[in-house]
Amino acid sequence: MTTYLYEKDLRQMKLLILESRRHDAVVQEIATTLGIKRQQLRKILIERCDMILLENLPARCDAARETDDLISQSLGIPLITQAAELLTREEGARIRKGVNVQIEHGVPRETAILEAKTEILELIRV
Amino acid sequence: MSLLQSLKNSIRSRSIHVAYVNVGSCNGCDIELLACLSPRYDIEQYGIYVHNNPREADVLLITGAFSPQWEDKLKPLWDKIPNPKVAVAIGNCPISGCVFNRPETLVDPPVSKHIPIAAEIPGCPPRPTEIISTILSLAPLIFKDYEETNR
Amino acid sequence: MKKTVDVSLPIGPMHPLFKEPCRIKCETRGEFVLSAEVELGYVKKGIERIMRGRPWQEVMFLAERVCGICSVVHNYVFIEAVENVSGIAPTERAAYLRVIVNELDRMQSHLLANYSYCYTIEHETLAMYLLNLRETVMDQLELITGARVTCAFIIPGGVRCDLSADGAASLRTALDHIDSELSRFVRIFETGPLIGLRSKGVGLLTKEAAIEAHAAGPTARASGIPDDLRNIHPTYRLLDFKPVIRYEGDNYARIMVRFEEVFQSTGLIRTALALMKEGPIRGGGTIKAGTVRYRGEAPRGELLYDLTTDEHGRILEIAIQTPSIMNIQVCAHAMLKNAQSAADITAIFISSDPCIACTER
Ligand code: SF4
Repeated sequence: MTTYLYEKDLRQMKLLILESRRHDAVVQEIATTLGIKRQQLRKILIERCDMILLENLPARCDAARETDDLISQSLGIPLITQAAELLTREEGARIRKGVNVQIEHGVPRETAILEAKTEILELIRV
Repeated sequence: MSLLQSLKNSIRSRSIHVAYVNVGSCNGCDIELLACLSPRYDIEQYGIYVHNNPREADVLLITGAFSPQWEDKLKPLWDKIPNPKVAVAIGNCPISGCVFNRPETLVDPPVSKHIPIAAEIPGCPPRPTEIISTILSLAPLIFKDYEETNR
Repeated sequence: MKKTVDVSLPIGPMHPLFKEPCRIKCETRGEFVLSAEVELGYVKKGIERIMRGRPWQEVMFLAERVCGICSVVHNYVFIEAVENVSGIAPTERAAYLRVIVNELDRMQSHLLANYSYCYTIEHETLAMYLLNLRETVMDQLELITGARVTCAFIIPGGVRCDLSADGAASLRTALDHIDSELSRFVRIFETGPLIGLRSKGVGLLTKEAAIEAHAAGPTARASGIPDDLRNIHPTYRLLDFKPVIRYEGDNYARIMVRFEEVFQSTGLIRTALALMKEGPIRGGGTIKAGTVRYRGEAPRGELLYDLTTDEHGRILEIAIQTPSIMNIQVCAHAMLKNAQSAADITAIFISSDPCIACTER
């Protein structure tokens, strides 16, 4: 819990931004791919992003969505790395590669993806 | 009237320093305010200077309905302005909230709840000429003989 | 956001150079800017929340007041979105009149943006010239629509009032005046050594960063992205429209793109005046239920209205995505990063033509 001496607590205002229709849609989308509740993702986003990035989230997601890699898509990696900047691109690429390696070693696809999701969650959780 | 007071009066009438603050407007009023600076209206020929620095301002022009971030910021800003000072509300927004004063809104008009307002210019937005004439007609009322009447 | 150094330089919310309140917090090492973040909320009015559940007649005026600088285009795009839902088409003369008013609005917005930039880099003479030229445009806007700002000129199926022959003549004279004056000012801007020093190579925006943040309008076009939604607009197609593109991606390029677009706008208005025939200006129609996502080109870039109406003409759901959101974000996170001097922060910020009222709504 942060105490604010000079700066104002902006969480309420950041939440107002995320309540708009288009923002709500993308937050819901990322939350479903990661398998967490919308409220949890909102909390993460509010802690990690500044206000203008939150405002621009839908447009950035539109720009990031154009990938044809199915595994990245099912993990939501472009949205998390490129659009919301919760992870760096290198981390995203590393997780993506980890899934590939696991699948090559005979781990079922679903399990590999699930494990990768847990890893992402651990990394972005505040 | 003392000599000092008449000297102050004559100097003050030719140098009115203005600061403007936007507390949640739609920009319409702000650009009409900016238009006052243009050579066509030439606000400086009347001795009005726009500095946008509260520390040296005499007149504070307020545009916009009151948005939540300003709650703890407008009052200190008003206190920073040295006496004599006036605040002028420009446009319908600080007066009534204009179209934004509806259920579900975030703004909290009127601005006069938060700081004392001396004059109001209605209009959405008012014309630049109206803004200039208000400042010009208001300034002598407040600044003339200020020290003698407020002793 | 995570902090890398402990010194942050706050700029705003009240700053002599900002027309609107917003706060930029820059992390600096000496003069060098490491990163910047923007704090908003000073003009948050909750327009989208107010709009919900209201009839379109009311929402139309609210939409205009999202932004006072480019009020015509908000009016334009909202009405076209509603028309799109209900299958109304404007009459031919009205379509041209809309373009004329929209281009006048774009001209005054660009002139204002360039005024702010020149004022920021302390070239006050040029700034005042531009602001005065803007008054000429505002006069024409007032002559046609009856108001300087927030004129609510465009209505479903047409426009509110017609352009008389006298009006057209005075518009033509004004356009000639603007062309001749502005070419002089552009020459001053191009050749001024002070302007070159403070603008060329400052605030670089690469094409990749612009695409990633979905930058729009002159900011994107100055970085070599040829996006302009007027390309696909039916009326603009008749006017033979071609977007203005530059490739430098610095402050100078952004300002020059705006200057060139003003010239282009005068050309478009002239063509529209020549093509326009006499005819009715109002078509009429009823608003029907439906959902649409409609985009239009505002002076600052792509403007998106995402709305749902019901059969009584009420707006059930609405989301507005204004171009300033993208442009300010890319400015704060890509242009300001690695700025060489703290003195450039305001110049870079203003060069992206930020409009905080749009950004927060
Ligand atoms: S009074 Fe009208 S033009 Fe002025 S800020 Fe309010 S809504 Fe905008």
